[in-house]
Amino acid sequence: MDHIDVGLRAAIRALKDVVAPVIAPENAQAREQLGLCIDYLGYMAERLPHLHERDRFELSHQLAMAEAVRGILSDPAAPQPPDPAIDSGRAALQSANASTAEVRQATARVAASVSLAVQGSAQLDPGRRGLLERAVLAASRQMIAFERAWHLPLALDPDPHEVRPLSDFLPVRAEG
Amino acid sequence: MNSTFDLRDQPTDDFIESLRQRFPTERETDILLTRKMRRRAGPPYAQVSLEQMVGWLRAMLGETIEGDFEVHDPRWLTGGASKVQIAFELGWNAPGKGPSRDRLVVRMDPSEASNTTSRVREVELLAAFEDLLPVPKVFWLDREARWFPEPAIIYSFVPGVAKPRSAKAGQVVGLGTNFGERLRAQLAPQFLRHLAAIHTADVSRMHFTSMELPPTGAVDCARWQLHRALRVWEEDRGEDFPLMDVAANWLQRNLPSLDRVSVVHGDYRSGNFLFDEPTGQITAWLDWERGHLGDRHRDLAWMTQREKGHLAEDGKTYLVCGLIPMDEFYRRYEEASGLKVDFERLRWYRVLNCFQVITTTMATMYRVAKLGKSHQDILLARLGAIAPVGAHELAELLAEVL
Repeated sequence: MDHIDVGLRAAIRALKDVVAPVIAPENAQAREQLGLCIDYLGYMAERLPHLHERDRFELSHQLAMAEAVRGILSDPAAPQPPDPAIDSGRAALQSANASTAEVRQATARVAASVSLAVQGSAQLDPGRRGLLERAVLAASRQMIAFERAWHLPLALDPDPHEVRPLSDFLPVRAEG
Repeated sequence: MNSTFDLRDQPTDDFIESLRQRFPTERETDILLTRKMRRRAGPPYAQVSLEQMVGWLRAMLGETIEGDFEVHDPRWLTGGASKVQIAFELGWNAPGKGPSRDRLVVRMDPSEASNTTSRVREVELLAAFEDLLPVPKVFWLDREARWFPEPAIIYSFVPGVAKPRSAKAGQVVGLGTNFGERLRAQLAPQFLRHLAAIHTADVSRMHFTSMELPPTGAVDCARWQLHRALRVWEEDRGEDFPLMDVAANWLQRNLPSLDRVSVVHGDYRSGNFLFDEPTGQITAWLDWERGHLGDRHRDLAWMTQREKGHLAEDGKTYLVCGLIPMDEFYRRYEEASGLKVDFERLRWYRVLNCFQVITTTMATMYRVAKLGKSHQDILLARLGAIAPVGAHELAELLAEVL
């Protein structure tokens, strides 16, 4: 079993207890950098156990957005043509063996296909363009809410009381 | 992860030129962004020592001032995200003043900053407001990095603090600083008065070489600012974010015309002014590097963004920059400046500013930290957490207009 989280917390203790006390007060730059490093390592230790679930969540979000966009852009009277980005994204999400790198590549392909559709939407009639933009906006809200939850430990959100718990989005495990 | 976006780590001449053609903007901005991209494949930032900084400083002073001089008590200044800064005391024979001992600051770019901005522009704006507002006095500019490894300014050290010594919030670059009730009451009127002085300054009596004068009654001003943001997003980003494409489309379709040319500070907020804590007097306005000639609504939209303020003690009242309740802010600004707030223009600039904040935190800070280009990469990595805050605000704004 991997114990990187234990190592990270040990590193934080070493920096706090051994390194910080011997940095001279006048070396403001070193003191500031050390504090930032300790904070960031703490954030990593908190988020590390959830990284793979995070990637899978992001892929599922991008797929939902891409499918909504495809529904708006396709001709309702004709069968939907295959979409390689969506198809490979679905396959990666359904595969228990998909690596983190494969999940990320699939996510990037799906997001690129949506971005391309939005960038080209000036050619659409205003009604359909509006539908497309509102669909992207609606789908983005869930991902933004997740990202706020993910970054909350860094204490930069001005409305932390609004931020939903990470467990609303990911199957968070109890930590030992 | 290898991706199509890795091209931005070593941009080709064709890539750089294509972005210049797609997003024409002010000349000075174009020069700086082009320089940034042409240098990007170069080495990462090399940590410099205090001794090295002083060595470059001595070399510059040796060629710039007449007579003997002494550099005393050099020390690092921290707290910012984008510039390498030291303070020192200069013993010298000052022109027209005689033997003097001045407290000064060196402010130098890293290899690549979280904001690519002009030191010339900063110097010109500080000089323009020297008699109107509390600002540092500029002594010298190393515009072409002749003595320092990157462009640098030397200006006066102004005493003061950016946040109360007891403040818990606002520890990172002054965002969300809680000043407490006493200081809030003392600082807020000055904050508004100084803002009004900037926006009502007579531009025709000022001399700028690094900023272009946008025409009124036309959309050029808004287009220049939008193109700057779109170009930086394209230069720096590491991923697609379809909501940014939606925002870009809306911004392009709804460019507002300019009703009046103002000096725009560009980063007017808590964290960018110093004050004397016992008296509550503002002692200096800093960080003019995002300044330009343009629409006052750009500044108003910037300082009212969520991450720049916080909720008051009642847990309900949002305080602009931790100083003024939102529902009073625009009325008090109009009273102080005599200028109207146009809420349609304001909304456009609010969307643009969200786009800009996401660009800086999600694209530029990512790229700079990935390539190890600055002295503050760990801070830039942390500030990536602001991207979803900006995205949340952007989504709320777009929901009103789409």
